[in-house]
Amino acid sequence: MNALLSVRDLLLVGNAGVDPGVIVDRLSLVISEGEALALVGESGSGKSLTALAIMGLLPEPEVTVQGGGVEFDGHDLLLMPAPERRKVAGHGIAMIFQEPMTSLNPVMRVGDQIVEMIRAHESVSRKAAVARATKLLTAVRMPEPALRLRAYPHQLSGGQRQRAMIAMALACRPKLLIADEPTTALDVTVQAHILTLLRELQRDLNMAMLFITHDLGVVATIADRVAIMYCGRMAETAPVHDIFRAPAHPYTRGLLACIPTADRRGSELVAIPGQMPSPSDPVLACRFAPRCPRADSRCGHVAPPTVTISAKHFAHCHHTGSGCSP
Amino acid sequence: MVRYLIRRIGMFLPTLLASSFLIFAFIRLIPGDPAAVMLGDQATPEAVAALRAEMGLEQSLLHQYIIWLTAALTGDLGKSIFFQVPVLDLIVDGLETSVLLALFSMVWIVILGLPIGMLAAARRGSLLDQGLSGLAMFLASVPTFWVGLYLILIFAATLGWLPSSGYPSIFEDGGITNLRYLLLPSLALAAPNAALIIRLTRASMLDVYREDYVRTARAKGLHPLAVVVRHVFRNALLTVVSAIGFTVAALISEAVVTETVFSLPGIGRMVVQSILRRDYPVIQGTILMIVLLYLTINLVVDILYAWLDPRVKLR
Repeated sequence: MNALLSVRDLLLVGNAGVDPGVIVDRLSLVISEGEALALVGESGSGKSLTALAIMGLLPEPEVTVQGGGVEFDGHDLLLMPAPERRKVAGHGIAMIFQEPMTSLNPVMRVGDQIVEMIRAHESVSRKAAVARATKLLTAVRMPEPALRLRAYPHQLSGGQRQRAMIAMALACRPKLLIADEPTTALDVTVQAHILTLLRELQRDLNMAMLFITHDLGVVATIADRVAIMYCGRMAETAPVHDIFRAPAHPYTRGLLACIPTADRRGSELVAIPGQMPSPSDPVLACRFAPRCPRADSRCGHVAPPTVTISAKHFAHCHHTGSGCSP
Repeated sequence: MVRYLIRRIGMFLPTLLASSFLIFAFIRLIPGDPAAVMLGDQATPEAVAALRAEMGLEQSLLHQYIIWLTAALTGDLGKSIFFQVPVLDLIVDGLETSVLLALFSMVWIVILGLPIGMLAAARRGSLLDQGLSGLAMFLASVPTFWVGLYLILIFAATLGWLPSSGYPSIFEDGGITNLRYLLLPSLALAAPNAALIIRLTRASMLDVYREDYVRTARAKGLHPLAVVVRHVFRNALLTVVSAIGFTVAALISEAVVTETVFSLPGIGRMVVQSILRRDYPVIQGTILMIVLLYLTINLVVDILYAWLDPRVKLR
């Protein structure tokens, strides 16, 4: 499979505010055509900023790209002039966000917002665009799509708004959909519906997806492959079943141990001790070392190697060997 | 929308009625007998009594109010004691000046306030932004009469481009070109309010620019101008429109000063002069007219707001 998106050594630096310093530290990831990759990490690990950097939506000048490259469909997005890049945004790569409540313009009808997306990238009549918007709303299983087209965002429920966002994102048949925690703000039952919908649409349209989440629990439903991020760096990438069956990085193991399961009923909830360092804290060779149960003297000074566990399974750690789990 | 309109207009009438009663009652609170004040020190008690009877002052306050109100509803606001002509004629004469002055000021406020505010927001932190924000701060701080006097000094006295005072009606000689008499006064009147709108537009554009839906709009790959116009500006306008509504109140009270500085025959100056002359029917009628004007403008602003923000109708 061809690489559709490849992020190479992306370096994002925060320049102002509470936490100046390196936010994303030479992060690399690849997504193939039609592949769903879940990018998992705690809040503040830099996963959302990575997505915004791909889209060219970083909150500059607070956060800027200081190095690396983002190649999409053979073109380096970071070197592209702004008008070219706008053609990619929405058309090549579309994005949906965490907060469906605030991510739609409150004073514009839902239909108009979808139509705006279509007509920004294709020269079609308004009428044709409206017809397409109706089809899109049907495709995302919006109840009474023709009616919802004329509704304002405040007249929709949270789940309906996220469906509208998805319809809008898919309007121009993007090759890649970036979904930044699209279900975090929703009720659990609605969450499941949206996840299933996204997965189905992704498969039906043969669209690649970068699904960002802090919840390892939803990953199995949504992704082919998982990338675990810790504090601005990649910890481990692996096909989804390998992550659950054979996690190699101590951080991944820690995360998996934190998921409450039925057979652990009654026992205390597990947590990884300590907390993620902030970008302004002193940088160790391995940023997870202070919290790692397997850390030794090497971890503080020697950069963790990239260890190939299997063909598609890589971990960045000195201690990937199996054995005692944390 | 229709239901909202009906509800909003339903609020308009009781407010007008209540204010009309307040206006009427407050004038009666002024100590002394209006009839005696009107006739002066030399009046005989008989003459005062006769005038009191003629004015209906012997009847109860409520009765007087009802008589005044029913007359006012038919357009009869009584007769000016000083001019001996119907109050309505005086108001109509003054209204042309005042309404045109207020309209011109609103135009200045909008064409100066919105674009300058947008420009300052777009160039946030630049020298231009600091210069414009400084100018706005300055204009908001100086009194209207000072701005008025300086405008006269520069554009009338020194450059001789525009007249310094007075306003002949557009229905008199000169016709529509007489409007040039209102350019300086309306600019003076607009200055502090435009400054407010500049600062508010700037702040509210910057606020909206940080909203999630603006990020969504940018993620759609829209042209930056489309993002600003369709997504930022319209939402920023919500705050600004309601503020423009408030400036109308400021315009009415500041118009009194402006009309005095520029010797304009408007209703603001008339109220001041009528108070000095104890011309109660004129004060009453004029204030009622100002209230009516103010309520109407507010109604228009609210309707505009509802049109801009679909969420309003739910409340």
